[in-house]
Amino acid sequence: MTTSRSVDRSPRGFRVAAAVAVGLIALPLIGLLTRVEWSRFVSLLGDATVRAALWLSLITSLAATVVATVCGLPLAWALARGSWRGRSVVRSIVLVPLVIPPVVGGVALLSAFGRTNGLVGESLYSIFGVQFTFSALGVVVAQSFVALPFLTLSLEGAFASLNNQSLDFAATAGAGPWRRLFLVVIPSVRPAFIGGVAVAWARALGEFGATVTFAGNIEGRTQTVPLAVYSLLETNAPAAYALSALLLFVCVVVLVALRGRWLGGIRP
Amino acid sequence: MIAIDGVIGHGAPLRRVAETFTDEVVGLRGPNGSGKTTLLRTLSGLVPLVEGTLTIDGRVVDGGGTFVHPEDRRLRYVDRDPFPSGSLGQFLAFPLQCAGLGRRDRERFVDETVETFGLGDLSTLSIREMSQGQLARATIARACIGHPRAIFLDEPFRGLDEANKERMLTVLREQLRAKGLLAIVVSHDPSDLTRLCDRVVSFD
Repeated sequence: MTTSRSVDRSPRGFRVAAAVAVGLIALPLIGLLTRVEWSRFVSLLGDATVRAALWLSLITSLAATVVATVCGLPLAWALARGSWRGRSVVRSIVLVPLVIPPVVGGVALLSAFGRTNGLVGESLYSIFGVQFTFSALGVVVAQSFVALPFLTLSLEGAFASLNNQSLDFAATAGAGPWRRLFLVVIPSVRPAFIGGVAVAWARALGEFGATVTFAGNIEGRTQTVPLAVYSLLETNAPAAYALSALLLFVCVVVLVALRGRWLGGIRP
Repeated sequence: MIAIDGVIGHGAPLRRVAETFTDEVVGLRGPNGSGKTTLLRTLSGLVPLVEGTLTIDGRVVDGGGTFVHPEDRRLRYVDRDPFPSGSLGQFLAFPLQCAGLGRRDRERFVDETVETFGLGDLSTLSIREMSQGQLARATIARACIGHPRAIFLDEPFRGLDEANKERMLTVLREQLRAKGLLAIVVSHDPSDLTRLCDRVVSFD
């Protein structure tokens, strides 16, 4: 590593510590790739359990991304541009899923939406017949729960620094709130919007703890790819490795496509 | 016709204004902080009146518990676009998009505007490639595109050299007269205003 400014030289020992950090992340990834039986990769992914999990994950993660976007964007707007009381409290609550263990999130979801004894889940079931536990709907709820903060966080920052002059001109030219949203707001925050949606989707796709606790691990119904990896590790380890490699590949593709845009301000 | 009788300001009262604007070109001059921009923003609905009444064509749009949002007043307030982007055509068509015009109408108005404002030399440039002066010309043209009810121009000649300012003054004067528009123009330069406007209001 060479730095252009001599003042940016790192203190002694920094490089070793930085190398440990890279190794800690890179070694498991390399280890995973060495365990995959590449010659059987495609046929391993053709396994019925694997295919069901892939299909379920695709559908539920996309649905959760839609939920997170449709609800998270208005929330981010209210947090960034509104001036209502309790804003900071709501902001903290919305960020909770980022920091609590996903399994705790699952327990919390059970206590709210569980069919028996759930805070609102019991009436939802008896009145509308809606059941979240042991259903794909529950998977979507669990994934939305963990994905929402990512979207809200990245959009709130972008909305806060939105340029007022563009909005003002659009309004006096006749654009109401909806048209301003699509003509000015979303185009101006496009990097944060695309990044937020992509990271929310990646988070939904990888969700494990909340899903297994809340929706259960039923093959073909609530068993998403991460859950299938966990189950297959005991019954069909080569398939588990192949599936893990596929998930890793998808995440790397998302990150490369974003090139740090989600975090913003990082030197390319 | 726009009639204002009240106090303008951003929260805190700034000055009392009692003026009536008919279909004419009005110049507005005065030192920094005298409330020129605040008046335009109040008329267009971006800032509410501190007290008093504002009527457009006899209808109260601000005052007495009524407040009509800027998108329903259609009094186009034109400042410099801080993040312009896209092609000249997209830039010019933006206010038409805001007003909900279809693509065919937008293209017709864009062609007409490029023609009348003599922007042919800019049509191959993207907005980002334009100089300050070229952008100022495009901004003035965009202010007049379509059929706005009124336009408020805030320092439209900033960044223009003498020759281009002369050209834009002439075209703007012709266009405002031809469309019979109500226009209010803020400028620091008294000679610009006397040449462009039917009358000049002074905020001293």
